[in-house]
Amino acid sequence: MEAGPERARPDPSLYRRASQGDLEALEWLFEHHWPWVKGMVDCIIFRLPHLGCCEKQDVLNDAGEELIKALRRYDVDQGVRFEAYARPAIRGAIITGVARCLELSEAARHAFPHVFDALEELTQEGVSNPTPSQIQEKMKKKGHPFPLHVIMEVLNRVRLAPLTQGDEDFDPDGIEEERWNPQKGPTDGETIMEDWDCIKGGLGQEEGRKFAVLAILYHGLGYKWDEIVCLLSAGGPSDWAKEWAICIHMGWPHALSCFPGLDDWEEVLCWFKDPPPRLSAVNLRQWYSRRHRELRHKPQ
Amino acid sequence: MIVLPIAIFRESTGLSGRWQGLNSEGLKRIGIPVLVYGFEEEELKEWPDDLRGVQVLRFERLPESPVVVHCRAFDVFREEALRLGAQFGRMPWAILYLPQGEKSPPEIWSFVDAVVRAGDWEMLRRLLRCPRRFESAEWAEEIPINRLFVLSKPPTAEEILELPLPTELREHIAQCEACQEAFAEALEARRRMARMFCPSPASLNAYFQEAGKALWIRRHLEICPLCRSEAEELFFTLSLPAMTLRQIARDPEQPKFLREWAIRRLQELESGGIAHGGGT
Repeated sequence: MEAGPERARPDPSLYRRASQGDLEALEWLFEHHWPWVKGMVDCIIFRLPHLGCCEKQDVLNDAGEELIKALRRYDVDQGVRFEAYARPAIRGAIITGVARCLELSEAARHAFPHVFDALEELTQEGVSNPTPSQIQEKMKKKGHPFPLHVIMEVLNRVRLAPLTQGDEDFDPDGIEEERWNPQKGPTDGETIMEDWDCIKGGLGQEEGRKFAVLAILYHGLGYKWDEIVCLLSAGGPSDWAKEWAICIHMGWPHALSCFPGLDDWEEVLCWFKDPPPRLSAVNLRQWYSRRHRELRHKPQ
Repeated sequence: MIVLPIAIFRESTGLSGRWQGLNSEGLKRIGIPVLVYGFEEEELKEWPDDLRGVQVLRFERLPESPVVVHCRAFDVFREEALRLGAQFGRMPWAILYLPQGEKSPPEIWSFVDAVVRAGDWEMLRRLLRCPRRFESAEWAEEIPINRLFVLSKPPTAEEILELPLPTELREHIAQCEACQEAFAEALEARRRMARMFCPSPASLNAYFQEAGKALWIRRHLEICPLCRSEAEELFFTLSLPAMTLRQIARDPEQPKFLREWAIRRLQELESGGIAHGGGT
């Protein structure tokens, strides 16, 4: 995306002045290129539906800082267009910022930009729906070997649309299908209830996280209410905490980003120490059903 | 004005069956007996004739019908509900009565099943049309996911009679309009939310690539026929190496359906890759 086809390219002298520290020229060029940078941010953030407004602002700030740095460093007389010169650094800053906001594990944070790169390259090669193994292979060829579960952690957080026009020069509104998480039929994202953010918004942090635990155990993993009582009161079998953490990271990363600590079983047990709900099968079902009803009845 | 401890009230009137079968004229004449908590006598006099307030002073056992709790008495009711929850394993069904202009107290939804604004008699009538309304809605949580998506919207009485619910309750829901309505609403809410808990296609893919090691996906596939069907489709389009397929087929920990898929896929490979016929 250029700064706009109808907009004239800035006079080269402005770039020279900006690189020499002229604040007026710097400000003018910043304003001129900002829509392009913002478009790049929007296109990447579009793929990350669970990023909050504050995080988006943080990423915009990162991108803005990188734009200023690029304007200060850019040498117009090298004959390279500013966009071509600045794009890798700005894109890198956006992706690094996003990875920080998503609270990924350290390994996934490192893998994050390479997963994005691999997906783009695969798309350009005509692989429109690559498997995690193909992405892993591509990353390995580029000298970035990462285990599959790390790649999966990244893929579970992103909504990656096909790059129909190459690079980030596409219109986010024009995207029709998702590459990952193409949840079908009843899972289409049109209903509010499907969104963990809405559970958090509707029930609040404390009640929402308890609801999330019960929902995952009951509907996600198929435990009966009396089994859930046992898990919550006895703490579960010896390796349960580890298994729970894996299950949350792999299966419900969106829930984890809404409810930090959800992957820590010891912490989860603490959430249920204060009544309600009291730990009996009927009480849990009653509590869960009431919270479900609350979500239905609260104005969203 | 009747003022009774709940134990006496419960035994003397048999609320749960009393008003079923009455037509609207009958209800108007007799009035729906409504358990109320924390109301002033003067306030109850202003209620419509068909809603007959029955004061509850203390709960000696669980009431069989919902209690309408005035907002001013909510704190005391909360303590009572916690005590009953500990003693009887569940809290009473309750409706919070909220005077105009007042805000709900925080955390009400751990203790009540509905909120009604003062003067919204239609809503109160609707919620009290059957004392088992909330119980019926609650049991919608128990319907297995495989039944959830094959039921009509709303489910027919015949379908309800085949659901895995306590016999007496499903027979009641099948013949009670109010409970059917509540049950259908709760089912719809479950449908909207159900697939939040399903693994993404990417996770399923990784699950197969790793020869079915992720226990959480295995558990989920065993309870979710929708995911199982999607997983089956995916399984037969992936080019899993024969070694992985053998690993799955020989692993006694794997679910039966997955081992069968692996065996079928191996047979296909051995016979030169016949296209998958689908359907397990």
